[in-house]
Amino acid sequence: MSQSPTMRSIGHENDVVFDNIGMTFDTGAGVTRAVENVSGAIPEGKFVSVIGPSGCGKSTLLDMVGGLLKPTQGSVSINGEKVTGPRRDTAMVFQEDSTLHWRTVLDNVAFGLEVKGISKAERYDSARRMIELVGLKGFEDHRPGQLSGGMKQRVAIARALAMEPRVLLMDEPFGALDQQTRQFIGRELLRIWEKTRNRVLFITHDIQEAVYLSDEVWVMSARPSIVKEVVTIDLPRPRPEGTHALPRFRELEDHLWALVKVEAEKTLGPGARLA
Amino acid sequence: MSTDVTIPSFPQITGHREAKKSRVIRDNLWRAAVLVALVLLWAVLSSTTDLVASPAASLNALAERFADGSIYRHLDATLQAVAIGFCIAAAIGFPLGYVIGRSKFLGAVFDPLVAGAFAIPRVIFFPILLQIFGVGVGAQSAMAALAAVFPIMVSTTAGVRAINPLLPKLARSLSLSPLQTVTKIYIPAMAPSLMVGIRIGFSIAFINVIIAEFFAARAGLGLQALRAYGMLDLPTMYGIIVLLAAIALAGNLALWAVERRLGEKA
Repeated sequence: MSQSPTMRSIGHENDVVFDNIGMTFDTGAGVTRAVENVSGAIPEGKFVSVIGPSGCGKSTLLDMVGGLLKPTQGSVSINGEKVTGPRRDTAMVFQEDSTLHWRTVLDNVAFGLEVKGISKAERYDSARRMIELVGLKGFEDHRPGQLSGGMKQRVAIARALAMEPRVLLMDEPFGALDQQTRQFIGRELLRIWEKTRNRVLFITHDIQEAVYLSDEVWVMSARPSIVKEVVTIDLPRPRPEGTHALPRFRELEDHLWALVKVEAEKTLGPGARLA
Repeated sequence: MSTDVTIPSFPQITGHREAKKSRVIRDNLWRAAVLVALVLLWAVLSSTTDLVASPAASLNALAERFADGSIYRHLDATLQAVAIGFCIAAAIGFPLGYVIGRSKFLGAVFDPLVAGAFAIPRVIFFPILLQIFGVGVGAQSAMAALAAVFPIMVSTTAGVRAINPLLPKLARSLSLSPLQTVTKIYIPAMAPSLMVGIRIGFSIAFINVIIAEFFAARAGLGLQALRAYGMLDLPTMYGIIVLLAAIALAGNLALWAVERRLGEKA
């Protein structure tokens, strides 16, 4: 069920590979070690989630794959190429609303392609397909201000998908949504992903969400964070409605919860006990 | 990627275009009614006191000034001073406000200074400007620039700070060039606050040009109004006031309309 991350083979050349990466921030008030010695790989076509206590450097990890942060130790490579900055074959979805409020839904979804210099006809064509894929058909001419939070996140997801990224980086994309919307859009994401099968690195706080969506869940420790355990989610795909009720699902969830609990208690300080 | 799936779509919001249209007509009728009421009030006032010229006499005097062409020199001087002053204020205020808004350090240094200086009646510097530029459009323009630069700066700074912090991150993750980041993210995201700056900057520039013309000028509508008053030519004075009001109203309304359209998109 689980392997130590350092024992894992470092993966194939065309994977997303973390080679012993670390990140320290010099905040002026002292040096913070955010991430330490993380090694691992996201294989082709796999959905990997990262969970761990707040402030454990999950987002830092994602920003390093996206080329927004340069690791202070080690390197990330995609298809054998070292990540030195933002790449055209990665796309990000953020936790908070990142839609462009002055643009229509169609122009929002086409934005990534527009700045890439894709012709209008071509980018609108793929934007329309993505809008349909995320269930926003009929809203092409609406502006984000007229949409709900969940719909805005769909716009951001469609924008990322329209770039046809080889690696989709999602930083708690449903974190700002209410529970109902969150579960619904999670199912939608899985349905879409089963069609696209990009590699996904998905940051979340929600253990159930992680189990439901992923092929692998990486559990990060409290700061300085290492990947404490990689849990393989061996639930069959596709995962229909009743998946949450499977005994195996509960087992995996309990196992992950136990791992996270230990780390969260560390973060919250000595004596802290979570129920 | 295939898209052969059907998903329950969200219900469509149907427009209330008809209702909206009739509301617009109603609002415009009321606006016209208010204007007519004000003119009537003016007419009533003019019939009770000699200090107020009647609307008819005023418009007549104004028409005469246009007919004999004597007003154009003054109209030109005023509009030129407003335009030049505003352009200088914009050229300084937008970049300065942007830089102060982007930098934590500059914000810390300049925020209290700008906020404090905003309250200084800038017209007090006009004698100095007169010394530098001499009597003429130059001094008037400098006055307008000095006055208008503050509101433009302040609203630009506020606009930069109000930008969703994820948008610069998005720009980086999509590998936007610095130019694309400014033209495709910053300017459109800030458009509503930039328009507020433009509108208030225009008003303040206009006010200050007229005040400056009261002090010392070779030509200008302010100067003309003051002269008419000095010669007790009340119809001309009121006529010029109407002209000034019309210019201010038209300019501000046009900018306000643009601002509202941008606001609707937000």
